[in-house]
Amino acid sequence: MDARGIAFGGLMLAAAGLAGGCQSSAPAPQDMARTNLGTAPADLQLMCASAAAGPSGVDSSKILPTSSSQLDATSYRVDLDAGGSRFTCVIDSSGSVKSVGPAAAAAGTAPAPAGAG
Amino acid sequence: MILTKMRRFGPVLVAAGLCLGPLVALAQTQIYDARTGKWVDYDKKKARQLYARNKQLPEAFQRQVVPFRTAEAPGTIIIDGNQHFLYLVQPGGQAIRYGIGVGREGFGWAGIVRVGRKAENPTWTPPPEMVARDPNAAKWAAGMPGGRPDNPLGPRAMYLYVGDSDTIYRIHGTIEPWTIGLDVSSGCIRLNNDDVVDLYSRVDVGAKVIVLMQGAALYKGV
Repeated sequence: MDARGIAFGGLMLAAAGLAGGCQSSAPAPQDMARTNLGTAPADLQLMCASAAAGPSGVDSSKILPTSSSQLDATSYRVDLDAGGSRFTCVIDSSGSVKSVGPAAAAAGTAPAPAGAG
Repeated sequence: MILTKMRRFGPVLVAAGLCLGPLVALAQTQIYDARTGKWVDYDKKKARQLYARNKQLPEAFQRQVVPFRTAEAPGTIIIDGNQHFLYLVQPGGQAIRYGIGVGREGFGWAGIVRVGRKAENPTWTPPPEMVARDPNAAKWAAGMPGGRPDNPLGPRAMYLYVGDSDTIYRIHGTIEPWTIGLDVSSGCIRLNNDDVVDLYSRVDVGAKVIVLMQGAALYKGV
């Protein structure tokens, strides 16, 4: 192979690398839709509902997530209705509940750490 | 208590069988176009274009098994109205995910309900206000028989109850498959017909159904 062949081969490899790079940035099939709402994934919202059962004293089957929002790249805030009382939960994308407590607490101070109830 | 709280168009929902209506977006949905490698807005016009071209839904709204971490029992249905997905919980931290169409603005609802009954080839009965304004609906005021290709409920319906009371909301099929992924209905949950047949075969009467909808106009069962 002469120098031109080596150069062409190098270009092809680079192009393949770029193409590969583009393809690797494509989302997985289950992630090929999104909205501008930034709501938490459904499973994370329900994990927060389960976590609120202790501090609220309400059966988790009666606790409903009512809204959620993304706080940063890895965590979400989930607002919950627990038998008429409002609770707030912070959960990360791995499913670890960081805090959960009455919504009033979230306005001024941090909710109680997860597991406190 | 948010028990059965109606905010805006709630009274309209009292009429039975209202599952159809014009398209009004609650939030901007985007889908990933693998051909161009770009995210594109997904609205009524785009949805019709893509469906006409591809004869199928965008990949995200096609039936697929996804990871799903939950303490809910297998067989539970979780509806994420904002993201337009219905999850059927499976063992082993997974769920079958289906694309859905949900209530347009003012018709979204949330709650904890159950499948009260199921029907194959369900009869569609248009609500009184639709009968009053639409001659085509008026001729079916007493009910359109199931099994017809123009029956808006499609081949299967699952009726959602709170306790023993019918909520008037259903999970059903559609004669407008391109509307999956959009905010289109008067509160019913629609799937494409293959998916509603699949879901129907997997769901038992009594199954728990959790409906998540940020900005809901109405709450049921909580």
